[in-house]
Amino acid sequence: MSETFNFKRFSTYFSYDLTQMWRNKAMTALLLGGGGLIFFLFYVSCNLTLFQHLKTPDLASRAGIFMLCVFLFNLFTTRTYGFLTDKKKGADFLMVPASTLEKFLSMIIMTIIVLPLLFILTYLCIDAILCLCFPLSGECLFQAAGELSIKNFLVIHVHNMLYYLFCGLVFKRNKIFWSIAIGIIIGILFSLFGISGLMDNSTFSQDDILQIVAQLKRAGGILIGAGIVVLACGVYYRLKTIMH
Amino acid sequence: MIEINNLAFSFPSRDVLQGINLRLEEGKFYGLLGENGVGKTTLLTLLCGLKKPKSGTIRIDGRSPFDRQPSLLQEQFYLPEEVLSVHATAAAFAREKGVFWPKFSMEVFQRLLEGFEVDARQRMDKMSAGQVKKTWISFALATGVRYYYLDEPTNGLDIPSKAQFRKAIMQFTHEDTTLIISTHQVRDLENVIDPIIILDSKEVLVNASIEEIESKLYFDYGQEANPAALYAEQTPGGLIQVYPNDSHAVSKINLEAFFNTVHHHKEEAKNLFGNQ
Repeated sequence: MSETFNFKRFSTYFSYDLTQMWRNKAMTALLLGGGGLIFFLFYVSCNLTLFQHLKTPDLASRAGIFMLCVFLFNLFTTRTYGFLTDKKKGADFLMVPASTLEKFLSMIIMTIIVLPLLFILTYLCIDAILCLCFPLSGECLFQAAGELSIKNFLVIHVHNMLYYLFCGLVFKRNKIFWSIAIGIIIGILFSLFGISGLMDNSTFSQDDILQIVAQLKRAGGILIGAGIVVLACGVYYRLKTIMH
Repeated sequence: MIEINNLAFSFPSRDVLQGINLRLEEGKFYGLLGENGVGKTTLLTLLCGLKKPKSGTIRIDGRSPFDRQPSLLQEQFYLPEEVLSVHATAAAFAREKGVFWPKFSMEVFQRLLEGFEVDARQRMDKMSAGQVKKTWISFALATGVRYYYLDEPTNGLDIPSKAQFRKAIMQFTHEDTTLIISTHQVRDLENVIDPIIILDSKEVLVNASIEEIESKLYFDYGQEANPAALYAEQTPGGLIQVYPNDSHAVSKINLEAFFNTVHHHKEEAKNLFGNQ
């Protein structure tokens, strides 16, 4: 039996991991998935109490709350496997007889696919039901999401999930604070880099601007792609070398 | 077979183990003794692959534990001093986790739990610390592995459970099982552990079987003080004295007295047991 990857052992490990996630983390994902419903009830009850008429939130405000819940879900990802830095829980995880690659793959599937699907599907289904019951709310998020580029969304999603997962595995304490702080620092650095590039040219023609936008898009794509590779390698390396 | 050669490990703030050489044979229940902070737990975590040696090597049947190969993980079990409580019943915990150890037996687990008088249907997060520990001990022994690393296994157990623990170890381990038990509670395991390893800060002072210790040291439980004693302790029933067994007399070891003898006469102990 291979020490690196064995499909039977991986499927055993994955189902074990799935059970643990369902038991320990699914409730948080479901709660965030119900964020839209909580906002809806709050909005309606506030309107009924203050203005004595039934008013439901429009698409823009629901989309705003959805983005907030997505952000909170991203932060929650730092805690999904953040227990690995805990002495007792981390040691228990490392001593389970499965290879590092199998644990890594299970972790990636759980973080990038399973838990986000649980959260997003719950959120969008509740939103669709609310839109069906209260047609004045306008378009449901499902329909609005159809206009976005799925490819771009997926790439950014994978990048973000890996970033927060990595932060959760690296920082022992204040995982959320450090993941936000480092995200802000990286954002500022790249913005400064971009601005300094633009400052080189004092005048821009229409063609220059189009060219710059195209270049920025290309550079952004390369950076996010490279980020995904680096973060995935970082997560694997951390799993391989973590000590307790 | 576990072979440790020139093992060294240090934390950022201090060195713990230096130049450790040990050879641990199959089918023996080693008692790992030492003062607080000498590195007993560190040695156990190095053996099971939770830590990487700073230098030197550990080979378990030719494999390095820090590689954390599944085949080696399936043959070993590390029981820390403080165990984890999970959000599940003891039975569900064992059923879900047991699948990773090929020789795990749910029947053995249930029998061990019954012996410890713990209800398998009880949720582990509702159990007392002692009951959680008993559940983990039962699970560990039910895995049927070849290498056990137990860190203070009797801490937190009540008196009947300590006796049950000794019984379980004798009943549910195999001929080729190697146990390494780190403990301060030597009286709890006096008739179980053999050989004895005594760690000092950074080195091994003693690695000897009970037979060897009893052949080299005489444990005198009489009333009269002997000036040749390396160690003497007043007890309610008289004295315990330890001195070199020059006359090859037969006596029964007292592990606490032995540990204190070694602790007070480190160089003599190293010379006597060939660990210079």
